[in-house]
Amino acid sequence: MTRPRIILHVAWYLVKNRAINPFLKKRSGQILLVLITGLFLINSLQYLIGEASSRTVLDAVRPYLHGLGLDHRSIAVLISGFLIIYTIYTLIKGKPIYLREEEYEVLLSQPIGLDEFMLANIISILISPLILTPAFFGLALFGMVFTGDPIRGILGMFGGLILLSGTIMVEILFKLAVRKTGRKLPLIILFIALLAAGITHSLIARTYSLILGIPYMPIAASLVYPFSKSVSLTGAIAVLFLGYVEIGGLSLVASVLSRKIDIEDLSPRSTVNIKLFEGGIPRIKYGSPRNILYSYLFTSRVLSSKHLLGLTILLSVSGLAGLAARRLIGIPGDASIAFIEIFIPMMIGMALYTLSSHVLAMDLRCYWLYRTYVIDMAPVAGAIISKLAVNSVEAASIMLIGLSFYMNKIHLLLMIPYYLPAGIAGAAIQLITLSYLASKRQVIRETTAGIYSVEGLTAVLLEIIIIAVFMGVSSLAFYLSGQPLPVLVAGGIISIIVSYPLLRFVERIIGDIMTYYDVLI
Amino acid sequence: MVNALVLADLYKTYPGGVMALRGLSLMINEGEIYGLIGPNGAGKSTTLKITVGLLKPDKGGVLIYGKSVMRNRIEALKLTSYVPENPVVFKNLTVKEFLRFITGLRSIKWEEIIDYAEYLVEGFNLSEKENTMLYQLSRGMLQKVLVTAAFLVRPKLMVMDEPMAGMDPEAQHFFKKEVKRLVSRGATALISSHLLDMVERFCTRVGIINKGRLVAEGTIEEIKKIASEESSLEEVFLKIVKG
Repeated sequence: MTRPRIILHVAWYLVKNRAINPFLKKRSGQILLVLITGLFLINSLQYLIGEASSRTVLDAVRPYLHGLGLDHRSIAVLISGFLIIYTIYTLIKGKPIYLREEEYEVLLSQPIGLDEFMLANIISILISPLILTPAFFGLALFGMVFTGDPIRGILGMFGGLILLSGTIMVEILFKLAVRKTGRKLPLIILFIALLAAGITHSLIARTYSLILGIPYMPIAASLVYPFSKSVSLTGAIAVLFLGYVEIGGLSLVASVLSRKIDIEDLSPRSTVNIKLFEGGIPRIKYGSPRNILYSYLFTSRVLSSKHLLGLTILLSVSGLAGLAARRLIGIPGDASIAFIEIFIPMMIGMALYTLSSHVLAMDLRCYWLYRTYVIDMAPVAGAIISKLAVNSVEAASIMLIGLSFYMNKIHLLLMIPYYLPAGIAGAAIQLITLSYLASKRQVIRETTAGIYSVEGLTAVLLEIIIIAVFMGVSSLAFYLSGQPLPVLVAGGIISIIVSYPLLRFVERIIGDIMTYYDVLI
Repeated sequence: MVNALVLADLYKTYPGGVMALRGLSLMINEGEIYGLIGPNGAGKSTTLKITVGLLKPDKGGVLIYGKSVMRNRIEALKLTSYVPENPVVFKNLTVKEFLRFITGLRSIKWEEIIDYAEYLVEGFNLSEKENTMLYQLSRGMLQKVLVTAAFLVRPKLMVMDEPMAGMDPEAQHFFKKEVKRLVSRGATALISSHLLDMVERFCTRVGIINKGRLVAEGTIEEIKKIASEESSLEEVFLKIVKG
């Protein structure tokens, strides 16, 4: 029998631990809160006294979006389509529900039912984003600058919260469904069929098919409709209401499923790391320290079958998406191309940055070990930079293959090598900054927690640099793609040739800093 | 004599194929301080996690004061407190918030235990840290907080995995004193540890676990007789484990 008092007690402390205290009791959280709230209020004031520019970002962007055949409805349909893909991914992975270590070890050893915990968890997932609303003022700020309307900014912020909670609920719901029914194939077939029908209908009808919006349209529309001036404020509020209704429905089904949950359905997050190596420990070629470090930090990651498979899938999806877009909306005009050339590299740059930050965080967790055992840190620096630079080239390849098919500019593929020296330079900036900060930590503490919040916040600031580098090279690539073939090929060859001495140069410098900084200096 | 804990014929194999427990059985009577010792990977932590319902055995059962952890999880765990091997905590809660959280799960009113909480907090030198966020504490301090929470919930059975790891000598002394006090009032303790000297002097009965099986059990004297040794528990342990 579930006990409401216990459920609320657990939910309250989960929300406190996940959302309230990090913002109200941590200095960094407080600063962020004040900063974003302040910016929002100043901008709102500007709007209210009529000093803000009458031409908004939305006004500027709208023609480009229309040129791509996108309006608020089609963007919502696309987001819903991505949620369908996410559902399929969740179903295929079928992993247990991962919990934080303390939630698993401390909370589940207490006298609470697993269903009570799941209900409390669901409540906290639904409430935590609301508590984090101040942080989401960033989204409200974006919405206000985008639309020029603070009310729409705030509604958009709630839309963002709905999408966030909705995505988490979708994951929990389908994980529970797989664990409880033990039959994931029918669900996978159902969602793949829905996706295939939506894509087919879109290509035949040359529109973004509403079939893609069937399961998640209210959630997806919550993020988009408040930002569209084609939708009235009342209409936007109604959409948000529907979004909450859908999340409520998903939560209700998840709650019913959680009644029969088993301890084996839940797992601490540490097991994720163990599962990463289930395919076998990376094969390391023994030899010189340099070979071993490169083998462990670079080759075993970049050339692993899992990584190569993922890359192949992404390249294929990108190419197919490019072809589908060409079929759906035709080759874009010059105005739309200008928009694409800025927008797509920015998005890919952000994704690349997230990946490279994760890679760095994982690699620098062992910083103490390298500093203790490795005499020369240059190979460590070189291997990490190489890995990040290769990731950069891979991201560029994924982007360029799609765009070359979409824009019918196959020459774009010749620009891929141009990203290599830029990737090395960007990775070097990231590594030198983060390792400089990490080297100030007491070595012994590095063993327990890896990267700390200062490094984390610095990493966020570095995001601007990485995205700027990626966007800069992309602009160059798009500009040069109109040049004659021999020029493009020569440029590519020069990029590759330049990359090697550049890598050796930066690895030597960063290696020395990583080895000696705060030891001799 | 009341059986505080019965572990009956436990088997557990992890998904990777590692067989952690192979028919482990043991029985602990009320009022005992039972030390579970064994080499790394012997199955100690698995045993303790199964005891508090964090893992499900492939076969076998767990009874806490006659209540099955598998079938009557909440009632069984109401009698139990647990200190995990690693001091994992809700890092964005303060010490006080964490203690209130854990006691609230048992519907214990804070006012009823405030004196005991203050006594424990003082005993573990946590008084100045009451309003400190847990992420700011060292490993040893976190261990003290987890042990404090385990004592505060008035358990009949305390299950503790390496409870003194990282604790300073003063805290270790206070910990042992408090366990003895609680046991003298009817509680029971199951403690896993690698500190053989502590186990020898502190525990009333000892079980040696190796490769997922209980290979020896009894009072320190009985264990020594099994191994035909008159020396320390450490030497007896090595002799039994290495065969």
